[in-house]
Formats: sequence, C-alpha cells, structure tokens
Amino acid sequence: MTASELKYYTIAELAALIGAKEISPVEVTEACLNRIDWHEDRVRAWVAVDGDAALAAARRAEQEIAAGSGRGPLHGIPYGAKDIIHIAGVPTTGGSKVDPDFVPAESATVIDRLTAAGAILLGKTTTTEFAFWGGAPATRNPWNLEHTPGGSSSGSAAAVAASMALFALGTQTIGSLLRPAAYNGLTCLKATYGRVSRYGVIPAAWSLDHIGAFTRTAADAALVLETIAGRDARDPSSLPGSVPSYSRFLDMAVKDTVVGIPTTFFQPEEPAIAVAMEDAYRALTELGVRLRPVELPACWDEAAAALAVVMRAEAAAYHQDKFAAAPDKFGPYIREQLRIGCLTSAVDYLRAQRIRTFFRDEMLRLFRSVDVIVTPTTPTLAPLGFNTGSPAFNGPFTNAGLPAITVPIGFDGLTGLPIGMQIAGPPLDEELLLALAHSYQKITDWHDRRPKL
Amino acid sequence: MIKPPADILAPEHRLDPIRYSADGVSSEQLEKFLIEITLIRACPLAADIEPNAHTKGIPSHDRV
Repeated sequence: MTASELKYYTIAELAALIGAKEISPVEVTEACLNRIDWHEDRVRAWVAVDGDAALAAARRAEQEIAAGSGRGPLHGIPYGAKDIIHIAGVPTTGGSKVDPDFVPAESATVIDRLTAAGAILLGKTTTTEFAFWGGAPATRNPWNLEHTPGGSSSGSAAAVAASMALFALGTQTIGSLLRPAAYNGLTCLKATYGRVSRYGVIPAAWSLDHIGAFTRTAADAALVLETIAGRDARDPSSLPGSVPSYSRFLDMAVKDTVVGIPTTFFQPEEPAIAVAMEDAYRALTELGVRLRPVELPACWDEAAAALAVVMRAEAAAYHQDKFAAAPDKFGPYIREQLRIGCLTSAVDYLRAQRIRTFFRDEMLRLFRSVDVIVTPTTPTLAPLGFNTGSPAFNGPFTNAGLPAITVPIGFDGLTGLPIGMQIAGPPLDEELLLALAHSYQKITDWHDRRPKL
Repeated sequence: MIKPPADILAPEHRLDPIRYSADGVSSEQLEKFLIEITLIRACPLAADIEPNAHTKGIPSHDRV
C-alpha cells in the first residue's frame, strides 16, 4: 500500500484486508508515517510522533495476526490521541506550558483498551490549552490551509482529515469533537455522558467532559466506540451495563424514525449550510424517516449560561493550585477564564447544576415526541485564521449529556470547506444515531471525499 | 484588589462585589459572566430539583 492509496481506506475496509492477510499492519503504519512526513509541515496536527514505537507495535500485530491470534477489527490500525490523554512514559502537556515535563506513569483507560485491541498509537495530537476556549494551536484545516480545523481537538481532526491516521481520539466539553469533525468533513460520535471512561484524561470540566473518536464513517465510529466504551472502576462517573456491539446495529431499520427539526436557534449563518441541510433532509426522507418540527425547552439561554458557569468553575477548581502558584505560566485566554471561575460562588455553581438537571429533563421530555433531533453541526463554515469557531450548536447536547453524531453533508463551493449535520438522541441510544448516519452514508458519498493536500 | 464602597453592597448592586474582585479580567469577559450569573439567578426552578437530583437518572452530572 502506498501513502497515496491509504487515504481512500476506512478502518472497516483495512480491517478486512488485514484479517485476510492481504495487507500488513506494518504497511499501513508506514503509509501513515509517510503521510505525516509529507504533510505535517503544513497541517501541524501533531505534538509528537513516535514512528519507531508505532512500527514495533505494527510488527507485533503482524506476527500475532500471522499466527492466527488476531484481536479484532482495530488490530493493526494506526491512530492518534489528543495531548490531554495520558500515555504511560510519554509527555502530556495539555497544549500548555504549565507542566511541560509531566510524564504520566500510566495510560488513560481509553488508551489501555485500544492497546488491548491491538490498535497502533502513532503519537499525540495538538489541542487548545487544556482543551479550553482560546489558546488555539497552529494546526491548519487540510481542506483549506487558511482556515482553522476547529478545536479544541484540533490536531486529531486535522490528522484524520489528512489521512495521517485512520482515527484519532479527542474530547468534548462543549463542542470540541463534533465541531472540528464537521469542519474537517469527518464523522464523529460523542456518546452519552459516562459511556466512555475519562480516567487518565486531563479534565476541562469534569461534569461536561466526553471522549470520542474522529473517523471517516459511521461504521468506523461504531468499531471504535465498541472498543473504548464501558464501565471503568477507575472512573466513578462511567456508566454501568454491558456495551452493545454497535456495528451489529448499523443496518437496523430506520424507516419511520421520527426526526425532530428545531424551529428556533439552530439557524445557520451561512447560506451554503442551509442549502446542504435542505439536501440532507431530502436524503433522510428518502430513507423513510418522518420529519417533524419541535420546540426547544424554554430554559435554553439559562442552560447555556449554566454550562459556561460550570465549565469555568470546574476548570478553576482543577487548576487551582498551579494557577495560584504560577498564573503567568497559563496562556492569556485560559488565565482570564480561570480568574472568572474563581469568582463563582458555590451557590451560583450549584444553581447552575440544578438548571442543567432541569434542562436535561426538558430535553428528555422532548424525546417523547421524536426519536432524534437533527440540526446543522455548526452555524458557520470553519473560520479563516485561528479562531476555532462557535460550539453553540453542540453545547446543548453536551450540556444534557446526550449522544450526538455528525456526518459530512456537503461542501462550500467557494472555500471547499466541508459542512456537517448533527443527529442527537436520548441517553444510550447510540445504536439509532449510528444506524441513521450509516444509512445516510449508504445513499451519499460526502464521506468519500478527500482534501487535496 | 479594589474594595467596593459600602453602598455598592446594597441588594440592588449584588453583582458588583464580583465586578470589584475581577482583577485581570477584561470588561468584555466580565460583562459576559455577569449576564450568565444574572440569567441563572433569575431562572425559575421547581422546588423539587435538589442539587443532587441528577444522580437519579442517566446521565449523571454530579460527580463533583
């Protein structure tokens, strides 16, 4: 396999070829490393790449598969991880200068689970400082290098879009998975709060943080989620219960699914997004779903305010000691946000959490009349420059802990930038989101497009 | 830190202690925060929503 050919493959396709011994994990890993060599100077997606370690892991995978000891569909598949996720023995900076020499002694649970599944870690990808607002890295959008890939999971999204990795882990506290996924023409599922362990991941705000993976397709998203999801004794917020084999639900019937279209708030600011959404609604109708307008909860603005108050307060609590000792080591934007977080009273914080509970209950009530809600993933295309864009359309679902997936639904003719559609559902209904996304991708080809780098 | 004058602590100025403690925060970010605090303080909440009510369902947010 050449590095040029690699970009057209999905995880599912490579897994079949690797399992049939028609291609080696070493070839796939070398192709990824070659693509990093070719494009990293322009895309700047990586904090660190350990090619030697990746190739050594790939050779072990090759030997195990040759010996008939394959570990499943991620065995021999190269991936990247956002630089707030601990990897034993590898420096983890969180995109900050606060603790540049920190080297975790153990890996995050998600890394352990991917290692057990035989996935090949290529390296760490860029993030905004501590996955917070502001402090954007120099990473560029592979579809148009003048534009941001979004954030905070900037490097993970750009690396997958540039086919430097088959998937990459990121995190979302407001919109840091779905927004960069949409900006980069990718598919990304943020599962229900607690579905994926956060153990070993630097918190941005622990009652809002979610972990997910950037992939090309819904089928690939299912493969990664079923590997990383599940109860973890080291993360008390992780949800109990068995993890479904999500891949088995991809082809379940979606006909007669009731799709709620919000009548307010989710109005895109750019005509290209509105046009792409109209086309996407038509495609969904072809699948036999029923579209129905829905009214959003009355406490919408208060819930958004509660999210912001909670996020700053929790970040300020987490960084309190280091911030007090050396505030100037923090970048100017997060420094200001942490100062505001320190001003939040306990009473206001708890009221904000109560509003979030009320909001979540109102959202659950909404799902009594519809199965899913569909919206544009972002109000705009990826902005020019380094502003990582607005997470406004993703925040409500993160705030309520609800699962949401984005799929590419078109491109802007002028800039060449991708457009995404967000599908959100009730807690633990990831199967339906994946099935809808997969069904949509069976009748469209937006996910097959690749940037010209 | 600048100390707020006594009259600023009157009930009608209850956000001003925050304003006078906000060293190093831009006026734009401070105003944004004050609007958020005003919104959450003004939001009517049912009496039966306890701070830990979210432990009763999925997902839970209360692991503080």
